[in-house]
Amino acid sequence: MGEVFVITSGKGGVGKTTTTANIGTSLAMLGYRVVLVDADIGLRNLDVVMGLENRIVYDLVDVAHGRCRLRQALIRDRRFETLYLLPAAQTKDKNAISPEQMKALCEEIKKECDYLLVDCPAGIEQGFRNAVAGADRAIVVTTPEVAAVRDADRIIGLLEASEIRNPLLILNRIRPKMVRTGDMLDVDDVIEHLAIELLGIVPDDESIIVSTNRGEPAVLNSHSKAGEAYRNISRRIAGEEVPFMNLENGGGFMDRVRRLLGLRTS
Amino acid sequence: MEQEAVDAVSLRARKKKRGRRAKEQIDPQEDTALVESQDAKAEEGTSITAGSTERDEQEKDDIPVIRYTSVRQMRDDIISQEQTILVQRTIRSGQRIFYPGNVVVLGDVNPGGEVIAGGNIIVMGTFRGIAHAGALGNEDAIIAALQLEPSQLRIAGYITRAPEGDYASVYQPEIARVQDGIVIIEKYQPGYDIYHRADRKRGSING
Ligand SMILES: Nc1ncnc2c1ncn2[C@@H]1O[C@H](COP(=O)(O)OP(=O)(O)OP(=O)(O)O)[C@@H](O)[C@H]1O
Ligand SMILES: [Mg+2]
Repeated sequence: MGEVFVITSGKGGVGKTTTTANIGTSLAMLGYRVVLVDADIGLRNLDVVMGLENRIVYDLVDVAHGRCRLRQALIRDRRFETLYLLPAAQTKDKNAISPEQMKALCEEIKKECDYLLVDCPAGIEQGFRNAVAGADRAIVVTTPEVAAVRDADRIIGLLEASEIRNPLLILNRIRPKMVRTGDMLDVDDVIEHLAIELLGIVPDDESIIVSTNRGEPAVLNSHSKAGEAYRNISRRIAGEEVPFMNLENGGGFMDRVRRLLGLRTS
Repeated sequence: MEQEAVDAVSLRARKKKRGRRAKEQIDPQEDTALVESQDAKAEEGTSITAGSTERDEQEKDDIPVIRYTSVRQMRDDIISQEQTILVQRTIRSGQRIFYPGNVVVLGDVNPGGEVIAGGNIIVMGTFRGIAHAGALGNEDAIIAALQLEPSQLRIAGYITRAPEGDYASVYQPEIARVQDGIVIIEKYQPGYDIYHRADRKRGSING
């Protein structure tokens, strides 16, 4: 029996889809059976990021409405044979699927995989409720911006209300230089503020843009810093203890200690 | 006691002059929360009890006991006898706590989170949200936090908001209350006399 993770954020464009694709791919690289579900109905793009766009025949909504069997809709990845994608529909109807249908679908899929990752749409409406309906755990993605952190906080509250406890945090698009010069929210501050377990810190990295456009997740590129961060995150999900990447003071845990001692650093 | 009004951006709302104090709310006759006993012999108090059952044994052991006997003592030491809830969680954006009595939060209150209490609010963490103490009209209500960085504070009908722009946050417990028609924030110190009545009537602990 697999575990269902929903990747969510509240705010749009912070890296949910990027995160889903990269974690999914690297879990498959580790040999796990992984299914990615794109719950961003109407705005699907996980298939593009995965480079599987032109293989879509059926989608999530077709499965939920019994227009095809699950096996027919699952698309096998080009690179890893234990990695599958269930694409979102392009329909404009937000109510094309209900939380109950989504839950049933997750239950069915997780019987046959190790990890099921659900790429959640932005916002807190129907799409969010659908995406979390079948989830066992949640990964909250945020960037070091006040608005993104605020939305992440809101989402964590809503996850609690949906009985999804102990969400994990990914801090995306960290720029060590800006953190150093004090132009970006401090990693420690964000973590302290959201008060949930940190799963990983992903640097802002051009290779993400390149890889997204090519349909090749960054974890496949051994030179990509962001790819390395996502590989570490996946190993943590799989239960390994992996130390946090040193992002040049980006994760300055010393800061906190100093503050506790009453010696303000800034 | 020294008063440092840290927060300058205070809006004065409705009420003209602060007159009444909470003491009217404490009726010694109807007081059931406190156990009364006949004598208040406590000398340099080191132990406080609300009950009288173990009195004799304790005094035998030479432990002076502070007993809340006189109405005056009650008024000075006990700020509120309202029902109090202890909430153990982080109050996040979009979440709101409402309680007619006092609220103690063991956690942080994040921006966009709200705590509304008929009585006092105490946050054992960082307060960054909106607090409304004395929401049912009690102007003597206070708001205290280990770190007070509120987006807005309200006490009864008085509102104050955080100063605009960056300001250095202080890593120390602070307490907000209404004084002379504005909400002021000052450093909290143990043994702090919230209403600054010491000059007027508070004497030794024995009253
Ligand atoms: N670590 C990163 N470094 C650089 N660019 C990034 C990084 N993470 C994400 N991006 C870029 O940010 C944009 C948004 O990312 P993505 O589509 O993953 O966000 P999303 O949260 O899924 O958005 P939506 O809410 O629209 O679904 C993309 O162009 C992506 O390439
Ligand atoms: Mg997306």
